[in-house]
Amino acid sequence: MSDNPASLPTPEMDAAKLEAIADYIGLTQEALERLQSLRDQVQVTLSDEFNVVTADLTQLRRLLSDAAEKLSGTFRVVTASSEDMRNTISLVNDTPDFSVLARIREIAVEMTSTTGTTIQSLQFEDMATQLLQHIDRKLAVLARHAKDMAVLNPTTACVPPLLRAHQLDDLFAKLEGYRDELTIATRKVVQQESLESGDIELF
Amino acid sequence: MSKTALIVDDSATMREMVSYTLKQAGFEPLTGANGQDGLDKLTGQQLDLIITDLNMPVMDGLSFIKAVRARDEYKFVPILMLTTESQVEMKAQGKAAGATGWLVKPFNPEMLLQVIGKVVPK
Repeated sequence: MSDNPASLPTPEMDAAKLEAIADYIGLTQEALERLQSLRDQVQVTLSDEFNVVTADLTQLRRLLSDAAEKLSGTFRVVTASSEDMRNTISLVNDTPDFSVLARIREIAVEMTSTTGTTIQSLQFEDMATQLLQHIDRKLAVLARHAKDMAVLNPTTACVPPLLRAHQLDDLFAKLEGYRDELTIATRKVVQQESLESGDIELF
Repeated sequence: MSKTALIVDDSATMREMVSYTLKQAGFEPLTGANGQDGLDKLTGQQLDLIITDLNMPVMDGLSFIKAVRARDEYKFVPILMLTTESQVEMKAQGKAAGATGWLVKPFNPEMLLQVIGKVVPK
């Protein structure tokens, strides 16, 4: 049996072992059921939260991919516009006319628009940072949770944790506390999946 | 005379992007890295606009707005919240605190300037 709480034993695996050993050491049926219930709940909580972290990382990957695509695009436009501008300016020097000046204005407008897209795309840094902070907070709570609940997963196979009723009560209370902490303290603030501009509302 | 705007955000990238955008519209930007830092910049400073983030260390955006609105000289300065948050309850809290508007990140520079045009007197 591993110490990793993410791989807690399944109910099917342990039920028979727990029952046999409980008979031997005199644990009550009720205590056994509570122990199994606690294990199941810890397993579900850890599994759910690791899924949240995985979803965060997927979202982060989408944001970074979108940012990279948009910024690469704006880079190509800016470099092309810059070259176009240089060539057009050299035409002004040779044969100044209004059509050349109009073309320079067009290039300037194009570059302004590209700058806007760049500004919008560079905001990925803020959202990526907040997503990473969310992951960090989740993992910090999960690390403490896993440490506290490690007692449910003893390293010696076939030996169930010898927990008294009040210790089980404590663990149930801790599990409840961690669930609250994971819900409240690790509230997710970044919902964006891309770098499209967000909603605007005036009050 | 150019108008002055205070930009409060814990992200240096965001402060730079908003500052750049406002400069294009003729604003002189001041910046703060969190609500408290923003408040420290307010000492008698004439302001035409405040743009603030919501989630920041030290002092968050809601507390910052309440503190700003508590000062007579800044009671009517337009305050735009620029945040990743889009929840209706959070917007309601922002409105109650005294925000003038709510913009969800990422912002589009052109659209930000349009909104500013609506809330800042010419």
